[in-house]
Amino acid sequence: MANFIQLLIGGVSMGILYGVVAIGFVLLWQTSQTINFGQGELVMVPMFLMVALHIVLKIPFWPSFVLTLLGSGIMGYLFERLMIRKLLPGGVLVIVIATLGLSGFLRYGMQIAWTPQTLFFPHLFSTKPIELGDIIFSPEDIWNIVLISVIIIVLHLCIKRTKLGMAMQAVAQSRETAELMGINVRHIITLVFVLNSVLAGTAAVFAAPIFFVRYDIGIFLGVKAFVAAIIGGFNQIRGALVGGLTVGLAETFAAAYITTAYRDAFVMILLLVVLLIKPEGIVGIKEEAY
Amino acid sequence: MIRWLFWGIIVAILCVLPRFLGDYTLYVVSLTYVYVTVAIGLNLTLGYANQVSLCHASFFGIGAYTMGLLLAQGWSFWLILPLSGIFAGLFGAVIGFPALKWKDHYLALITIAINIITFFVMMQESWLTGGPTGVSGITRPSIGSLSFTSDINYYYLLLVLFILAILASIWIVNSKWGRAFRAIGLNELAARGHGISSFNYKLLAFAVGAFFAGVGGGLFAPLLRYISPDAFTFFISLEFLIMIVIGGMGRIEGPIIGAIIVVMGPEVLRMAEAAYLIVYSLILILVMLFMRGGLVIVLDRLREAIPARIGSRR
Amino acid sequence: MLKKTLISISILSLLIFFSSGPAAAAEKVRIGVVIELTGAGASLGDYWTKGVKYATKEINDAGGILGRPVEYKIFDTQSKPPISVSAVKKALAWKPYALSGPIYSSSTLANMFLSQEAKTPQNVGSENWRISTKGSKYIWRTSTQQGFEIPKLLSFIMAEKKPKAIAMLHVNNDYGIGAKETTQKILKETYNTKLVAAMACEQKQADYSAEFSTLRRKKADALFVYLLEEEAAIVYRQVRKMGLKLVLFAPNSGISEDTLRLGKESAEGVYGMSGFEYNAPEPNCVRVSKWFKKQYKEWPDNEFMKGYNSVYLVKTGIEQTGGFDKAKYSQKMHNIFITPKVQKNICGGNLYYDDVGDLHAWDYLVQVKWDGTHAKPKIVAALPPLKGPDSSKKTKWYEK
Repeated sequence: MANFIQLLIGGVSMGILYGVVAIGFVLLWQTSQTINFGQGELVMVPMFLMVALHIVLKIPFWPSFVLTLLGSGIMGYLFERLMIRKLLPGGVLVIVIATLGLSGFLRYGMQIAWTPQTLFFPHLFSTKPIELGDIIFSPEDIWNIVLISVIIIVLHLCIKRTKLGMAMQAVAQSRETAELMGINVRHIITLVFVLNSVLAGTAAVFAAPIFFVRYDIGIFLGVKAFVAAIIGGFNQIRGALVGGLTVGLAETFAAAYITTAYRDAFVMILLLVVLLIKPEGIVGIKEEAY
Repeated sequence: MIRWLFWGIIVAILCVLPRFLGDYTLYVVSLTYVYVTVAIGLNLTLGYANQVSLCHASFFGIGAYTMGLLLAQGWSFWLILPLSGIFAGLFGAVIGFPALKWKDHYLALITIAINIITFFVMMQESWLTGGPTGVSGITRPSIGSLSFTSDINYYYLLLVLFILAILASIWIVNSKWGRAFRAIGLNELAARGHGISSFNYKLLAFAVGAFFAGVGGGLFAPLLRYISPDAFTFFISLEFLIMIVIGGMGRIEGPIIGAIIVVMGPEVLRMAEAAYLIVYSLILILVMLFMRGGLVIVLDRLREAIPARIGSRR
Repeated sequence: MLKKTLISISILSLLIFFSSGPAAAAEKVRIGVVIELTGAGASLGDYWTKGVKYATKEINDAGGILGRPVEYKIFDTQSKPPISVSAVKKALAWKPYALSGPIYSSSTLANMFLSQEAKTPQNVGSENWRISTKGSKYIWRTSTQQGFEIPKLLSFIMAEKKPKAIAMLHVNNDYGIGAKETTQKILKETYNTKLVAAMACEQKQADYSAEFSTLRRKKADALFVYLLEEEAAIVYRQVRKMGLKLVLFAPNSGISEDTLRLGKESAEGVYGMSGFEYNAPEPNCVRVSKWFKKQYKEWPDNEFMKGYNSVYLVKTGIEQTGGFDKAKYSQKMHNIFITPKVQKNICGGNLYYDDVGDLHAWDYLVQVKWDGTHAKPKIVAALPPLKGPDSSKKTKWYEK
């Protein structure tokens, strides 16, 4: 039992991180049918930004954090204005390829512009392990879980309760109807891209002490988040979260009880099973599209 | 007539090309032939029948491993080459089943998952695939006293099969199959209305596309004389996708142009050393922003423009 | 329209420009550096190329090799075996005298047959044991291979730490799987025991709770961390974070500067082994490391010394041959004992190359100490090589 709880904490703390990146995927898909293969790089770039501000320039944590989120937001804005706006009429495949290009551009750009080395990032929270009987856990994992959950809840409330959030939902349901209702769809889409980048930036700050800061971490996080979004359900924010947790837990439990050798493949098998049995995802809603 | 002359000249150039190329350039051109073969397959599946496949690297890998492993068992290259295609094709037909039910991004995701799983099988099942070490010491074939062991001779073998692959794809596109693929690609319901069995043809689109990729794999293994799972990751599938999109989907010339750009692009840009990957990514974005129909459209316009000029002179 | 045509025409002309053949070889000693410039091994490749660069400058400043200046060119393997094959082909088309790199074992295993066929010496940074079984007369290692490193490391751990249950984390590739096989074999044959758990880890893996739960269940008291640099640092951090009490030991990737820079205080107490350390009691290691520190404001990883040596090996070979015949070079560089007298600048003291190009040299057993700002490898002992003239010598203890 102690073992089980231990694994649970490990799995959830990873899963919630995947989940928060996956939420961005889902938001983009809902409002603009964009599948963003550069999502992982939107996490990687803020990681380096955070290192630049907090470690190189020695700016205290909170101001660096705010500046990093600001930088992420600007990146998201430019991403939408300079690329996606022009590509949207071209359909899903065109966006997939262009965002793949973007992903490579940011990844190798960072390598050349800064460093191919992995950079150090300090723990954000105390690392003194807490023992509860047989269970040992680290405050870092618990803080990550709690804080990311709070962020997700706030986001959820914003989308459900505020006017802007409702406009977002309207755009997600039907762009034409939203336009008829007097919503400026363009602005909403831009806003969602900014929001997505800020979320990714937040994830970056939590992920940096766990993964360290490296230019090629984006592929890893991007693919995990992508799979999480599908497993959970591509058209639901809840889905992204459920998907993230499922992926995190599946990895951990499969590695502990089945084999570590197929750790990553196991998630893919899970993905196939979900797609075959319930293609809209675990909590997703059926779309007409397929 | 002029058209035949044009193609004749191209083939003649390709035949004398090795005389002018260094070892490495020769290898890059040979590699391009292999990749074109695979991209042709993807073009049939995706470009014509509109069935997204992001696991062509798996089909490619199945072909390559079939070749590598059976050669080690002492089988003949000439027997294994069709088998490489057939194994990949059968696997492709199985992958085609999900396509009966799903489209677009869902199908993309299913095929991504399949690619990642086949990659792990190649990595982990060392008893069969040699694991991460891969298969080394792959030999090149010969007919009687004619040996294809040298790079130049193998180049000619690849050239012949490359031309055969292009001719086969032209034949398929213009056959009953090709018309059915396009009909399904354009409008599935309408195709059904015209009595085209979307069930059979979707599976067939996958099988045929995978067959080409498998043959490509069968040619790839002896070219490198070494294969390992890293050559068949999901990212390689993306490269194939990028090839046909840059070149132009649903066009015979598309995969050829695309493969040339994707395989040779980094070589051309090598003067920029490590920066070539950046430039390469940037080109990808720019093509998508400004030349969406693929580079084949530029060729079309050139083709239209030139006769017009000649005409005006008259 | 016109613009697009121009763009495509310029792309085509670039292609044509490229296809002109390679230039004729000049009177220079060319070294093709086939290395991990991008991808997972980029950081290591960066150290390696810096080593090559420094050695080249040093040699050229001193008048070159037999009067000929050294020239090198870098070819990126992208850390991928298939790309490494084309990178070596590309390098060989440049007609180099020798090749330097790659580091990744899977890449070396993929491309080594090319240097063998081209009869071109290749000095690699790989440690997988299979490389020496392939029968190539043109491959040399720049560090001790895992088949010799692991027994030395285990002999220390078994004698000094007496662990009851050893577990192993290994990276899921050639390097890690090769090490697992070697470790299992040695434990069985020499110590009549076995690993209580051998777990494969993925690159970029960040959560080890599954592995740790297995460690607890199997009551492991020692953990062999056979991972790449970043993952090793992450494991040290997680071991501390979860309060596990284990004897940690690792190959050189686990105590290299790259790992310690990331692991910081959590690496405290880790045992490891390496042939090159910046604080080793060996003048050349110290000298080049000091240069590195001055130049790049940090201590070098051992890959820097390996890259550096890869060029000096070429110098040694050519000087020993007295000319530029590669077949004679190959003969000379096997069963050779390179002492500071033979090559005064080479790092690592006495190096012995056997008949398959395996390096037999002194390895330093180190324990990591945290001094409040840096984690530093502290030399505990120098272990003699298993083969060659120095193999009869005794372990030198620096601290006990």
